[in-house]
Amino acid sequence: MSIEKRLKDDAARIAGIQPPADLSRRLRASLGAMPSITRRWFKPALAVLTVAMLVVILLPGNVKMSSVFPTVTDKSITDSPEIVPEYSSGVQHEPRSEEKPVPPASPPAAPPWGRAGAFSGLALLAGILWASEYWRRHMALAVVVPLVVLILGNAWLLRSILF
Amino acid sequence: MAQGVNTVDALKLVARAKAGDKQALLDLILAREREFFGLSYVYMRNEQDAADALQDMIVILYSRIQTLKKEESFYSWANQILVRCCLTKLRRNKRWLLTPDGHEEAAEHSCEAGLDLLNAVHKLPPAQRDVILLFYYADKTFEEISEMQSCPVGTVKSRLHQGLKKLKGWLGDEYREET
Repeated sequence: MSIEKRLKDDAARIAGIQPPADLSRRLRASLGAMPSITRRWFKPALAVLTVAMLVVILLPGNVKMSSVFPTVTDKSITDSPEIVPEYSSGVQHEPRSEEKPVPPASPPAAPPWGRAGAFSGLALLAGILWASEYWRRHMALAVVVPLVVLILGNAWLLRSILF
Repeated sequence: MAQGVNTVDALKLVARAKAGDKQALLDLILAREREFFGLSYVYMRNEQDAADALQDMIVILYSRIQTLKKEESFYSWANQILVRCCLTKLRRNKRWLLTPDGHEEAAEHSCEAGLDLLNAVHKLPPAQRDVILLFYYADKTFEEISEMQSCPVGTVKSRLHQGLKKLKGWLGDEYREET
């Protein structure tokens, strides 16, 4: 018998060997012990979204802060004698009476719908990303917890901006 | 592409596995369980080590599957990884066998009985051994082997020829060709 034929016969014999009955269980156990992987772009995308949300919230934009806090540009404050600089102490100021009427408060600024909408959109996108990443893994908590945190955070931030 | 699942399903499973679905990866492997086990067995020469190598393979597959460019090459890629796992395990076993205590006994038990020819194949230089194992035992084509080993088809054929020549020389008395 040629060596080639012998090798083929031997291969046929080995092909008949059954895998161990518990092989699938062992493979499943090995996989189960592995930490779950995420898509490559998932973490960078979430990082970008987080930064974008922070920018939307923290950077001065279309929110008129003067409607919430008085600023030094308000005439009623800059004109008060307490904050007049010393070098100007010699300058003759018009006598000002205490009973000078306070100018009426400016009407409240319109709610920053643009900013709120941008933040909500980003938060929604982040939620969708989380859901798309974890929905196959039956990790309900991994979806629910971040979403709830995002929604609550969103609501809290909106509350501070709007009211 | 796969025996147990059709090509379309296999591609879908590969895509799901790349997205992190462990069950999809397990289904892909179990669809060709016997083929993978056979390949592992011819390297390891015992069932326990063969199963261990398969476990190592599936862990590596899961951790690296996102680097797989062509989804249709999944099984070829998995075979490459399995062969590497087997070789790593063989190297570890060899180190263990070389320890002074009872290496004779360990060597004796490392292979199961009735594997004389396979043991002879394992005495060949690694390149020739791999080609013979993949061509005869794992039923791979020259093209598949050349892809797995990243070498030209001509080199694969040359290695096969040299390996067979050596085997004939070693086993000439036992496996003399009938005239």
